[in-house]
Parts: sequence; C-alpha cells; structure tokens
Amino acid sequence: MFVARGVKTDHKDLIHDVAFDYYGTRMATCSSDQTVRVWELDAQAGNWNCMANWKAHSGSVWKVTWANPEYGQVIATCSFDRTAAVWEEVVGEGSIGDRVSATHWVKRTTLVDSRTSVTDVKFAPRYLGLVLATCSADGFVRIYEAPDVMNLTQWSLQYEIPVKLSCSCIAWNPTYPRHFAPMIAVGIDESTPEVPKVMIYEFNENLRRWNRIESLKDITDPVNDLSFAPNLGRSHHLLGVATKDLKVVSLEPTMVEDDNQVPSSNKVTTRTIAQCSDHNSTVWRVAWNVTGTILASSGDDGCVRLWKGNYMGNWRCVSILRGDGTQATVEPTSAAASATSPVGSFGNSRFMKLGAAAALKQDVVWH
Amino acid sequence: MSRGESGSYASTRSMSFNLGDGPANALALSKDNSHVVVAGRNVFKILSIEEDCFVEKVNLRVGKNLNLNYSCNDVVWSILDENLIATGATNGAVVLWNLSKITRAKQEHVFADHQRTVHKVVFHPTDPFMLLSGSQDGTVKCFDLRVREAKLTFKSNSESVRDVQFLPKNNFSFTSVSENGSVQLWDVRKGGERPFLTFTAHSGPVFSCDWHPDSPNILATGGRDRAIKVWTVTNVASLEHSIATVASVGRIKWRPQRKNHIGSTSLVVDASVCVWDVRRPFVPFAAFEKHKDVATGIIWKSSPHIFLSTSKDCTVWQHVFRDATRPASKAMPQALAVNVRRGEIAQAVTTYQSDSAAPPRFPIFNRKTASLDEQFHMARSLFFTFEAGRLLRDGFRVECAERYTLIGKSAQELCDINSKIALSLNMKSVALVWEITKLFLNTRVTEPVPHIETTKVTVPTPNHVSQAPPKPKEDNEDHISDDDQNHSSSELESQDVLGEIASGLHMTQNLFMSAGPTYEFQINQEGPVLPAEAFQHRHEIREGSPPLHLEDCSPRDVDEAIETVAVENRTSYLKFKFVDPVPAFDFSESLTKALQFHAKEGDVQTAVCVWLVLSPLYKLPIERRVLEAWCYAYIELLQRNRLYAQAAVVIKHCGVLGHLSQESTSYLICCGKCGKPLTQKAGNFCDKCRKAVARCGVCHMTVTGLMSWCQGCGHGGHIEHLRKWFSGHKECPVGCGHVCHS
Repeated sequence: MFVARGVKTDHKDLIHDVAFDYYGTRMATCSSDQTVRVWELDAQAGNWNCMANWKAHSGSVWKVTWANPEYGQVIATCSFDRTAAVWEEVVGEGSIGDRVSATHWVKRTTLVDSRTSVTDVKFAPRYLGLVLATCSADGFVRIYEAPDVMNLTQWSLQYEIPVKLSCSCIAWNPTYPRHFAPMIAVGIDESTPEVPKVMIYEFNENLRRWNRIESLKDITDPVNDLSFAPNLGRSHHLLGVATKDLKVVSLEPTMVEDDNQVPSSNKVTTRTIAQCSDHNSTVWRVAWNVTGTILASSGDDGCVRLWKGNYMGNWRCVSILRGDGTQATVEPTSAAASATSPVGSFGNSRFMKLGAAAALKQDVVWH
Repeated sequence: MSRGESGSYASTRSMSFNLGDGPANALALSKDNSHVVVAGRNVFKILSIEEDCFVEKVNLRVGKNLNLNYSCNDVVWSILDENLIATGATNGAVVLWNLSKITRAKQEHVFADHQRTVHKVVFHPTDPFMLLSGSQDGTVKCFDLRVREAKLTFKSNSESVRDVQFLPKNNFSFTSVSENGSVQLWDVRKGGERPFLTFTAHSGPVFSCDWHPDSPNILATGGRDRAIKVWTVTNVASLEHSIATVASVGRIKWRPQRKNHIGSTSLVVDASVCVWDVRRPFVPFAAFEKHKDVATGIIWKSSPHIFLSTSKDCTVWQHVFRDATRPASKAMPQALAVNVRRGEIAQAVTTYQSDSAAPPRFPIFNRKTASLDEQFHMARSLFFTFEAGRLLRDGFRVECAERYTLIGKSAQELCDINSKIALSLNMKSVALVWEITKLFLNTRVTEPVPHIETTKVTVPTPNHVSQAPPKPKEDNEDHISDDDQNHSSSELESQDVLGEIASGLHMTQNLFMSAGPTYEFQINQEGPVLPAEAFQHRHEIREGSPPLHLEDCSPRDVDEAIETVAVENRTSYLKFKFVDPVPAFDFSESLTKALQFHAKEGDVQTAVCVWLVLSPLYKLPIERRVLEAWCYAYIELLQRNRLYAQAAVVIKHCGVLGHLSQESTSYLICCGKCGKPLTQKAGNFCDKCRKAVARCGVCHMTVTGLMSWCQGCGHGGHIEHLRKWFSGHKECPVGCGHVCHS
C-alpha cells in the first residue's frame, strides 16, 4: 500500500534531480530552468512546501546533492554551464516570489575546472571530510576538498582523474571505511558498445592517488545512473546500475589483510547478481533505501519499481509505484494529454503506454 | 542555383574550410547562395560552396597597401547587385567592393565618416543604393551609394551601436541596438534626430538583433546578460519570450520557415551554435558543436536545415541539421530519490503536455516528428511523492529506537523489557530474538558452554582489589577483585558509565572465581600459549577509546577469539567447579546467526541492540568489521532520525566506535579581556594579559569549572562567592562601580 501525491513544482522545464537531506525533512529539486528549489516538509499535512527558489546556473542544472548537516545547510549543484557550485543557507532576509523568508541561499563557490557540462556532483561520505566529487562530459572526475569546513569559499582541486570517456554519473561507496578504502564508481554514457561503461576507482592511501581497479565490461549500454548500497556489514559492495535495464552488481574486494592499516584492496571481483528488465524500457534512475535492502528504479515507463533480493540472492520486483493515479490533482488540464502521450522519450527509447505498464503486475495494492 | 530546398537537403553535408589567415568576424552569402564572403581582421575571402567542399575563389585582401580598411568587422553582400560587397572596418571606414572590377584590388570606395570601429553594415532590402552602418562612435549612418556620401546620421543615446537592421516589409524603418541595453527604432524619412521608439531590452550591452522574417513585429535581441529576448514591437515593445543562454549572446538569426526557432552564437566560452525554440527557453533545440572557438557569424542558407558559420578558430562550417546534437535528448528525463527517514520516494518524470490541453489529434501518424519537433517545447516534469511506508524503512522502527532500554539494568531484565516493546509493536520475530537472548543469558549463567574455555588466556591474578562501583549487577556481590592488572591502573576507574558496566561484568565473573588452583588448571588445559600473553597487560589503544573489557588484545585473535572475553573465562572456572562437562546446546552460534540474519535483512536495529545488551556479559563471535558496520549504520539511522541520545548510547557502549564521540567536537576559547585566542598549552592563562583569564572577583583566585559573570561589566567569579557577595551588595565585587545586581 502506498500513497502517491502529485507535487506542483512550478519548475518551468524538466526536473533533472531531486535529493533529500540527511534527516529527510528537506528536499531539493533542480531543473533545466536553471533554478534550484528547496522544499520543507510540513510534518502534519505531509506536504512539501517550497521554501527557496533561486537561479543557480546559466544552464540546465543536472544534479543537486546535500552535504552532511554537520557542515551546515549546504548543497552542491552542477550544470550544463560547465560549473559546479556550492550553496549555503544563511540566516537573513530572502524572498520566494512575494513571500519573505527568514533565510536565503548564498553561493559559496563556483568550481570552474571543467571545459564541458558537469554531469554529476556528489559529496563524499562524512568520514572523508567535506569532499566533493564531480564528473564531466569531457571525461574527468574531479575531487575537491574544503580544507576548512568553516570556510566554504575555499575549495581545492585535490585530484583530477582522467576517465577519458564522457561521464554521466558518479557514486561514492558509503561503506564505513576502516576495512575498505574510499571507492568511487563512474558511469559512462558513450554510445559505442566496446568501451567499458562503469569504472571503479579506489583511493590508494600509500600512493595518495585514485586508481582504476575495475571496469565493468558486461554493461554495454550507456549508463544513466548508479548508486552504491549502504553496507551493513556485508563483505561485498552492491552497486545498482541504471542502463538499458536495471543491474545489480556485487563487488567483492579481495582483501589484503593488514592489521591496523586501511586495506587497499586493489582488486575487486565483480559479479552481476541481478538483471531486471521489467521496465521494458530504459531505466533512468536508481536509489537505495537506507539499509541497502531495497532498490528503487525509475524507468521510461514512468513507474518506480522497488526491488528486493531474497535469501537466495534473487532480485524481485516487490512493488510498482505510479504517480498517474493522482495525476488529476497535479494538473487537471493536463491529465488527458499525458494519458494519451508516451511518457518521457526522446528518439531511441521505446514507448510504453501507461496503462500497459500497470498490467504487468497484478498483485500490487493501489491506493 | 538554390540548394536550400529540402529536396536537395538530403545530399548536403556538413563541411568546413580552414581560412588559415586568421579568425573571421563575419560572413555573408551571395544572392543565389552559391558563394560566401568571409571577413575578419586578417582575412577577406570569397568561397564558392560546392557539393561537398568550399573552394576559395577570390582573396580580396590583395594590393599594395593593406591598411586598416581591409580589417573587417562586418561584411554584407548586396541583395540586388551580386557584384557589390560592403564591409565595416575596424578603423571606422565603410568600404565598398566591386567584384566586377578587372584589377586585382576590388576596392571601390571608402566612406571614412565614422570616428570609430564600424560594427555592422547592412543593405536596404529593396533600395540598392541605401547602406546603413552602425559604429562604436554611437551613430548610425545612412549612405547613398549614388552620390557616395553619408546622407543621414542617427545619433543613438549611447556610446556604441552594435547592430542595425531594417524592418522587413517596411522600407523606411530600421532598428539599432546599443551598448547601454536599449533598442531604438528609426524612420529614415524623419531624419536622424529622434527615434520613434526606444526601449531598454537588456541589462548590459545588446550585441545583436534580428527581425523575424515572416511574422511582422517580432524582434529578437541578444545581449551580454546571457539572454535572447523576443519582443512584439508595435507602438510599444512587449516581451514575449526570454531565452537563457549559457554565455553572452554574440549573434542571433531566425531560422527560416520555422516560426519559433532562432539560432544563436556566444560571444565567449561556448563554441557551439545553438538553435532554440523560443517556447522552451532553457534547453537548446539543437546544438552544433563543430567549432573549436566561439562562433562569430551565422547565416541561414534560405533553408531551415542548412546554415553557415564562421568562428575565431579560423574556419567556416556548413552545418546540416541532420548532424546536430540534441541537448534535450541527453538531459536526464527523470529524477528519483528515496527519503531515508520517512519511507518516501520522490520521482519526477517527463511528460509532454500542450498548454492548450488539446491532445494531439493524430497520435499514430507522424508521432516521430511530433515527438521531437512539435512536442519539444511541451516537455515538463510531473513530480510525485510516494509514501511507501514501512517497506523502505525496512528494519528500522523509530518507536523501538526510542523505547528500547539498552543499559542500566541486568541483561535479562533488558531482554524482557525490549521483548515486550517489540511485541507491543507487533514485531514478533524481533520479540522472539529478545526472548532467545534472555534464554541464552540464563544458560550462560548456569550452564557454561564447553568450547569457550579455550579462549581464555588472560592471566587472572587476583592481586588487586578495587572498590566496586556502586552498581549492582545481577544478584551478586559487592566485592570485586579486579583480576586484570590492566584494570588496576587508572584506566578502568577513569571510565565513567562505561567503566561501571565493565566492572559490573567483572563482578559477575568474580563471583565464581577462586584463586590459584583454577588458574593452574587452566594453564594445563590451555597449553603453552599462556605465558606470552600474561604480559600483554595493556590494551592497545584503538581509536582513542579503550575497548571496554577486552583484556585480551593480542593481535593474534583480534578478530574473533577476542570477542569471547573474560566472561567465558570465568564461566569456565564455573564449569570446573560446579558443572558436569555435559556439552550444552550452544546458543551463541544460533544467536549470532540470528543477528546476522536480521542485519542482512536490513534490521541492524535488532542486531545492534541485542549485541549491546549482551556485550557486557558475553561477546558473540562476530567479526569486528561487521560489528563496526552494524553500529555505524545504526548510529547513522538514529542520527538521521534525530535520536541523538540513543545514538550516543550506542557510540559509548558498542566498544568499537568510541572514537566517533571524540570527532568533530572542538571548542575555541579566547581571553575575555583582550580577545586573544588561548592556546591549549597555556590553559586558561592569557599570554597577552599575563594573567589567568578567569579570576574570581571576590577571592581573586583563578576560576576553573563553572563561572558566573555579569554581562554588564564582565566581572565574575565562583558562583558561591558571588552569591554570598550579592546577598549583601549590589555593586560589582571588583570595584568597577557597575551595579550588577539590580
């Protein structure tokens, strides 16, 4: 049983990313209309109210991400305009349209190292400090650090990793580090099938550099999104990959046992443990729940599917969520139009009628 | 020869020509689109456009005296006379070139009327003898080519005119745009005094303007404020659309035969030429990324599918729409996020909705073209939130976190309490785990498990007796003989609650512990490993916080054996003394498995909580790495739910993540008198004042610990002293005269 709510975002173009903050009480959305909106949860009503809205870039804003709240209310954005930016909420008068708010968001820095569109930006896990990774269409992963967490205007480019292929997305391994070195997965969206589509980089403490330790060769289609599962004591990492279909890859580090040092594994054994094409279309996004047991994927069929591995390691779709049940409340005038037109497609993707997607799974309780 | 028809478009291809001599500033097509003239500071050439290449026909930059007249900012080819070309030069000259001249140098006439650089020249669309020029000197001049002189001068309201253009289908009016952001409309018949319309279009310079070739009164302007604006200009100008570009807009040009499409180049940064649909102002409809440097001029080849552009990278390109990149197709059409706390999912999906709410009439036919071209501007995102409830929060219950009791009582009691809590929340399997844990604990006390005896190697030397912390554990004793030398040192005592728990543990053990003989027996049983470890007294200090009661820290068994600690040891004595060595059912294994199962299912809550309750008495054989991950995950869950107190309990008692409580906490202090930061070394002594920072105003001694002070005068001291003082006085004890107590 689930409740679907339409939210009128007032974004004037496509929404490319949404991110919840650490506590789940705030939400940030970013859009091609070059703005970022920050939403706050009305705990009683369960509604999201827009608390701030500002023009963040001079191009489409691709991704938005929250920093850990110990660094303050900080978000990072990246854009088609070749920059990434770090924003901080400060107390002081601001305004959303005609309303006056008590806080406003200030741009703390602009990271201008990329020569092409910056396609993803992600804060590192908390234990690494205030560290930001970006990847760009020109094939670089850049890792920035704010050495002084009280001063968000100073970011130094620590590492520039040449991936040499157009990067679409990046993910940090959130695993608690003491037994794993910091790890990054990079998704590639090149259309040529020969090149690897997911690269795994690991930080080598001794050499102080990021090494590519693996590239997943059995993924041949452009990667749209990827995400590491939170690791709750597993010996392997789980990586959800959104490409033409949904894949779950397990990365098993071959550990070099060393008493007190952080082991640098230098090698991982990868295994695709699930390949799910239930969406019958391109999968665009993946996200894990906080315990790393359920994977949510969003595909071109407009549905969100929830996946869970059973004790045998088989991944099954446990639920399908669709928003169109409540579409009427979103925009009454558009309901008719969107019901007849295919959802979200540009050229190469396959069309799927909304009604057809619903018929795939019978045992879902609709609300 | 017109190649612009869509029939021949299929055979046309993208091609380029390298000018070699320098960057080009502008280009113009001949009337029949067969030739293009390219002009720049050091380049001035006519190229013929062949099937699949450009061929250089004429280099106009020849002659004895290559002065600044050859340095062109703009070039235009007469629409009516195919031999006539006009250029605007960087020295302010407007130069006419006659291609029919027999000599090599084709220069026909030079108008030296402008004081500064000429930015733009344009021929009248119907009058072959009228030429307009806009210049950096802030004027627009109208030349009559018959009399070879500037007939009219239009003084704009700014320092610099960047673009001029005649209105289509109107023989007498033209617009000029200027660096102060204004657009002016002039009537040539009324002379150069006043424009008949002036409006401010941009904040900052306007670099380009273009009238829509088909729709009357539609004007587009592009400026440094990174916007292309589309205006309906009648008696007043009203803004229709505003396109937000990545960089300052250099040149704009409407796409022929397409009502809503306009091409643009950037002045800086962005080397691509973009074609926009004005109805979707944020994403280019198409982008052409052939140039390596910013494009300086574009011109459509009278077909909507082909255009030419020049660039600072010294090339001329013919672009074909077929080869365009479609930025929108690369854009992520969906967004998805899982709210870790509330079990909520947010999703944004792309939809195509027409503003008119009319569904497309023939969705089956021409869907392909409709989806790209017609639907392009209708792209919007629908945004949903799903409350998937408990499903996503798999294994974490806030209620449990809030109500579980993990410390402060005997383990059995804790199990009872927590089991009831779980049951009341309808978590039967979790309740069962608690019950089993309790059962396990009971067996541990009465029925020791044989296998454990092998683990105990720490030397129990009951040589030191410390006072038991006043915290009775289980139902036993007050007297503790701390068997480990380790604990005889200050370490144990210095620990607070942690220490109490730990020593509580020792009590239990010591109940059953006698002295020497047991020890000897153990040695016999254990074999020769013992002596080495007998000297390993101190804990290795790990992550800043000593493990609670891991007496045995020999590196050998850091991982597993260590987890079975003193407790078992003692129980092994127990066995020796009271119990038959009947192999009892070993709960520890199954309990470990149960916890591992719960953790795997995402229920770290149960795993960590059970472990925490058990840990003072018995360490399950769980890898430290795994345990750390569990605790870390559970702490994060608690923190995300703002259950900081509960998180602190876990950090404190889990024994493996003690360092977390020592991280990220710092305080900086400075002297209250002079503001100088105090160094750690000097304590509360200020180097500058040469005094202790906090002195009591009454007793003049340094205050350590709590201090109270007056916010008015800043003097203070020991709370007790001040209380005494102010019971009899109102003024400051220091004698500053401030009436602190009013």
